[in-house]
Amino acid sequence: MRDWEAKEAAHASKAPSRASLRGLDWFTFFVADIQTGFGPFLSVYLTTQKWTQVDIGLVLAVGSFASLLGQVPGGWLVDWARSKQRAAALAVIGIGVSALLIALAPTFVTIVAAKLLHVGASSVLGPAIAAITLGLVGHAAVGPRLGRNARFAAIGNGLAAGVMGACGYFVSAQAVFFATAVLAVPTLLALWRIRESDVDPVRADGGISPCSASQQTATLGRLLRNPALLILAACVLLFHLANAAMLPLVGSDVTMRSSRWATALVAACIITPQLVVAAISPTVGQLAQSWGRRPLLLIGFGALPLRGALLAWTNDPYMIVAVQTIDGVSGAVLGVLVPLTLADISRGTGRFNLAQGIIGSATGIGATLSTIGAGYLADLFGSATAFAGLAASGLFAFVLLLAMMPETKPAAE
Amino acid sequence: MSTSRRVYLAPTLAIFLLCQIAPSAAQLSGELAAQPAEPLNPTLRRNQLESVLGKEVRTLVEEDGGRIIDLLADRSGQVRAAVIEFGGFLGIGTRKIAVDWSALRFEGDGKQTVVIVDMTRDQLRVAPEYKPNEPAVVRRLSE
Repeated sequence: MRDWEAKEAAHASKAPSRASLRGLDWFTFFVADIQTGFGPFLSVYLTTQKWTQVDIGLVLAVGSFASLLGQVPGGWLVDWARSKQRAAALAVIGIGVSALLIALAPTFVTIVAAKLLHVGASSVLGPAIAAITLGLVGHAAVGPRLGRNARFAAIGNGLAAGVMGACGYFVSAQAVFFATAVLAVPTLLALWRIRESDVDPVRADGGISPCSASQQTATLGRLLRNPALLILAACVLLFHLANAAMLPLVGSDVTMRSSRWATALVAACIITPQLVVAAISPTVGQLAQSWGRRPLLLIGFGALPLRGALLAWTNDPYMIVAVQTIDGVSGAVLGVLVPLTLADISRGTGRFNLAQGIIGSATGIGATLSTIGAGYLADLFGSATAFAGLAASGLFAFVLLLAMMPETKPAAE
Repeated sequence: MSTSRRVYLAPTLAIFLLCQIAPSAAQLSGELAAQPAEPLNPTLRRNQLESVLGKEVRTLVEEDGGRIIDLLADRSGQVRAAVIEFGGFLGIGTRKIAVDWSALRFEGDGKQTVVIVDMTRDQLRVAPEYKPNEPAVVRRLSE
């Protein structure tokens, strides 16, 4: 029995308290809420503040570039931090302050600062949630727990999209950012409920305690040389290359094709997949234990090109909403299986969060290129061709996964 | 020590600045003498002008028609069209179209000006997407 295995066995007996598990439920729920306003809605808000398109474009570009650079350091920082909760708490405070800055002082300098603050905080918060989860329950039980996290995050996403969208439509765009800042308070309270003593910092990094510098570089090398990590990163990049532009394109199509119900139908396109994720994620987490990771990953990645092909084929706005339910399958699988696979891959290296940062970068690169590529295709050949192009990228991701990705579930479980 | 240095520095700086300004001030007064001194734009009072960027637009039948996000001018500087962004939810799935400036009406309802586009929502939604790099497609009312 190796050193980290002995340590894991010693921790396995220590079950986390009910209060901590409940705290994690609400924490994932509220984190989803406070992230809603920072998406494309920011440019709507800046438009109401009389910003020019050039300035809005510049701020968004600075944000996505910083996000690409920030993921890996963010993950590294979470590995390095002894208290994952404290790292998460600082990130939540950062997001709250960023929302306040955006609401109170929409000048160029403050918005750039707020955007960078939000990007930095998010690059820590994403890995920190998974780290706290792994630190709470350990590798043996993390699959079902990630399923539960994904359920609460999806409920948070769906509810926040509805409430914040209505708030922006009926009250004001500024009110959305005030609401975000206020929601940072219950987010921190939920985090507070997770007991420090329940989260094992060693387990939260994926295994061993960092001892000497030479050992650390050895484990880092072991992680980076793992072909499964590179294959997963490539698949995730291609997935988001196909996925990121799909929803905006769907929304724009529905806006064009439906007169009376356009707003409600676009909202349905956003919220319906979240309902599906909330419904099936816990099952996905359970199945990952019995079936293994590979079959589920294949289902999730396979659903994307199917969705793209159906969207290229259909014109009817109601049919489009129906097709969007397929997005929930991909969402649930990626939400649960990607952190779970990373926990498998990084097990015993103590670099779980760095691995998450690497996948985060792959996501960012894919998503950025997706928007550019799909915009180009849609301009030149129309949205059906753009959907087909996106579906092709998704199919490529599926084939790569099918051909190369190994099963990462440990044989013993 | 530091205060005494400042006392010497101030007059020196003042003399230096005067030397710099003197010739340009003479030029300026010459130019001013050529034109009659007059307050700029005496006819435009503050409440007669309004910023249009970010302003909401209503359609013919009082529907939400989006927001003005940009203005397009021709080479003579005449404003020809307004770029309007509309639709979507939470900023996802919005569309941008360029609308002929003459198709916009500015009507005052007491305190605020309301911008009305002489189209229905159905005409707006099917208008071709505005692309910044290509000549804008401008819709007229008569179509």
